Amino acid sequence: MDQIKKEFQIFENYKKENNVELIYLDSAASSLTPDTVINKMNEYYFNYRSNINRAVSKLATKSTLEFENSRQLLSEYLNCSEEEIIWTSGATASSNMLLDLIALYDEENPFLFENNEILTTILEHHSSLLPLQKLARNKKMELIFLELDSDLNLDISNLGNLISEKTKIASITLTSNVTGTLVDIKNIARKIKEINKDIFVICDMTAGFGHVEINFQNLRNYVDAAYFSFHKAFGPTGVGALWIRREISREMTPSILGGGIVAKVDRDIASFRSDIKVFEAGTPNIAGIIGAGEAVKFLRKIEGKSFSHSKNLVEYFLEKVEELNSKYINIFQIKTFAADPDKNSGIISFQILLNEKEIHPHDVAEILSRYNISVRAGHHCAEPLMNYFGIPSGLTRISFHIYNTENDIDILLTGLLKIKSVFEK
Amino acid sequence: MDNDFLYEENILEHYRNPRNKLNKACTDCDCVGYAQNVDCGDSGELYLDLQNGRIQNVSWSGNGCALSQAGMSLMTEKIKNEKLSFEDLKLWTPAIIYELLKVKISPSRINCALLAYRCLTDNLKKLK
Repeated sequence: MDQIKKEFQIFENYKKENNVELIYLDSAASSLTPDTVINKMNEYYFNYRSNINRAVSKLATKSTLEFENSRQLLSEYLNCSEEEIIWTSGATASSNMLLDLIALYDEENPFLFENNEILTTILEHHSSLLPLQKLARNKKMELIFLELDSDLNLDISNLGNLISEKTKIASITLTSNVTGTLVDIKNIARKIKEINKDIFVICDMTAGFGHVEINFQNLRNYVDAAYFSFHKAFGPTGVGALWIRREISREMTPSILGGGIVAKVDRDIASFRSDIKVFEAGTPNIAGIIGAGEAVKFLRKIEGKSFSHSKNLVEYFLEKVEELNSKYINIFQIKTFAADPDKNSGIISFQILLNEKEIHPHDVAEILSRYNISVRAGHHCAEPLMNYFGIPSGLTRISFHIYNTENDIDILLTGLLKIKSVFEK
Repeated sequence: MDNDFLYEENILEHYRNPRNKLNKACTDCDCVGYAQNVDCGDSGELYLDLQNGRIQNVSWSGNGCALSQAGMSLMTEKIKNEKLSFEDLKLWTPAIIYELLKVKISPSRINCALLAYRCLTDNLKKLK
């Protein structure tokens, strides 16, 4: 893996600046970006900086071709049509746009009524949950939650009772950004559609994209829309995608209006273009989207390796923690919240207990940062899940990607023992 | 590597042995100021008793990280030791808390460091 690390200049730069290795265990918040992606974006700024689509200059032709090449690369990677990829600024923008599109569709073709229901899960990130709450509130609908079983997997044993003809939307995450739990979305979505084929099924793929294979050809009979961000999958910040089955998006009216999406505009009314770009009003993040295309090439390169690599690291960490816990039991304990490594996307959250008292995750993260170890602490934008676990102070989270090594975990464990010594004084 | 300056003895000592802390909420004080950091669950309540514009008694309750809890302890200690008035407190700025903590605060920990100050601000608003 050291070879892979060399493809991320940030490791070398950090060492030069701080005279110590960077231990980056926060890829679930944002992954690092390989040099190829950064160079590709720089190329745009240095060599062919211009707007896309409408200009006819050589520069604009080049930038339009590169921009559209990213759409092609992504659609091939996901096995879907280019006409199903909507570029956005990230998962949050995708999620909000999708629910706005659904609300707009409902204005023209009413199908959401008072006391209807939206099925979702306790694992959702706020970017998925909050727009659902808004729609539910506006339409006087009710949110229904799938909870967890003792292995931190979604408990679908009761699915048949939770779904009825009142259920109009189901929004199920692909992966928990707290426990790493991978959801068998195809299986759950298929079951949902079997009970009521008219339910609009959404999947938030943000924490799974780049870790597990996503193939929309296999999902399209069960899932209607999905979204993710690129900054968690080697791309730049400020780029995401929204996938909607073309049969559905064709019937939708754009929610964001502006330049580049029109067929004709009169003083009082406008008519819109008929392709997927109708959902991409305004000048997009051109450099970022061109960089996202390059990130797809990197994802292709690590395809088939990423998941098993993270799985090995999850197993290694859990083993080491078990050793530590047996050594320090009752004095110092690391209580992990991680799904079974076979169903985990490289994410583990944990609590540190010293003499049965919790050391606050912010204190844990702060001390680890002194060791040049980047982790995340807090609610991880999943407050309902924290409340479900009964942990108002949140958890410390580590997350792995292709550039992490067992050595990173060894250094992390040294840092965790340092925390013990700081608070034990 | 060992430069854990945020966790100097000053802060850890107040975290372990908080001054003026009550084990449960005070129900008969003159004014309760409340603050919470929603993203990490830190919370504090600052209880003030006043007599003729002077702070007669100060105590607090709360939960959270070492920094937020040490901040509550240090701030209440200062209010008590210096026998401050309500008018004195109105002139306070966050700088007073930073001075008490004596450590460099990173942007991500500002909310933790200023939990006590935000409780006090809530008290002052209620006493206006």
